[in-house]
Amino acid sequence: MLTCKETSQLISQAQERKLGLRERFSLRIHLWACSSCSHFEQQIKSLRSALKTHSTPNSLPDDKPLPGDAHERILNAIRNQTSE
Amino acid sequence: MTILDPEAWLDEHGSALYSFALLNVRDSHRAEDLVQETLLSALKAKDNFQESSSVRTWLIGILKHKIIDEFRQQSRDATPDDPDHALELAEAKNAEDNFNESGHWSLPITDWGDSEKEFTRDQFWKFIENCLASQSPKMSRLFILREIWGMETDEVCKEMGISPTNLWTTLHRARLGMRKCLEKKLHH
Repeated sequence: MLTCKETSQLISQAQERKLGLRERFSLRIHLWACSSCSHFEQQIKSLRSALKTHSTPNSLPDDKPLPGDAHERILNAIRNQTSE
Repeated sequence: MTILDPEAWLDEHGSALYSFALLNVRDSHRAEDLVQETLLSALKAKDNFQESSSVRTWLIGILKHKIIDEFRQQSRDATPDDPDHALELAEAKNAEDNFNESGHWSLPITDWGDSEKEFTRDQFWKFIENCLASQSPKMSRLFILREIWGMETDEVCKEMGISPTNLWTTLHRARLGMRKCLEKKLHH
């Protein structure tokens, strides 16, 4: 029987690679009996899906205004390059 | 023609580029420089812009290239005696602390339900940003590439020059850390 520590590692790795038959089997058995690990699995998956929905170009963060002095500096750099 | 006006790009997308850069590199001066480099590269590559894609998508794509160069550099520069490494050891211990000697969770993991759906976009990103800041730079880089950018596992390994097992271990620790941090925020 897997420990929770080993199970959590498999849950994580399942996000990165296809688990083997034996791994999947022992994982299912453990999850069937352990609510903490089942919740961990749900949390990891919902975190990934929430990040995915928030990562389209229009839902990325845009709440930090570019500081005014940086704006001006960049504007000058653009003008310099355009006039070259 | 307005669509290819770099000065308008700065007004319309400057803050979005800056916010995204800040989420990834944490340093405000570096983030400002990245916005500038992105817009200047975009200006040079103006002719490659595909009318079918949005300006923002195109600019974010260029910015991502710059960020990944930066990550590659940071990842190469990390040596065993720098503070990053000490931080990594501390992170390994933090990950261990989630479990007791017999390998059980030290504290039961509870059901989050749908609570994360209640957040606005700004709140969501604020939480993610705060929690990322509490991770070691390496964990945060790998978590960003894999979970926020959605890069494939082998691509992340190739770009960052690490083995798949190294990536799995680091991402697992990052997930344990992010989970714990987000849970505190969900309950307050």
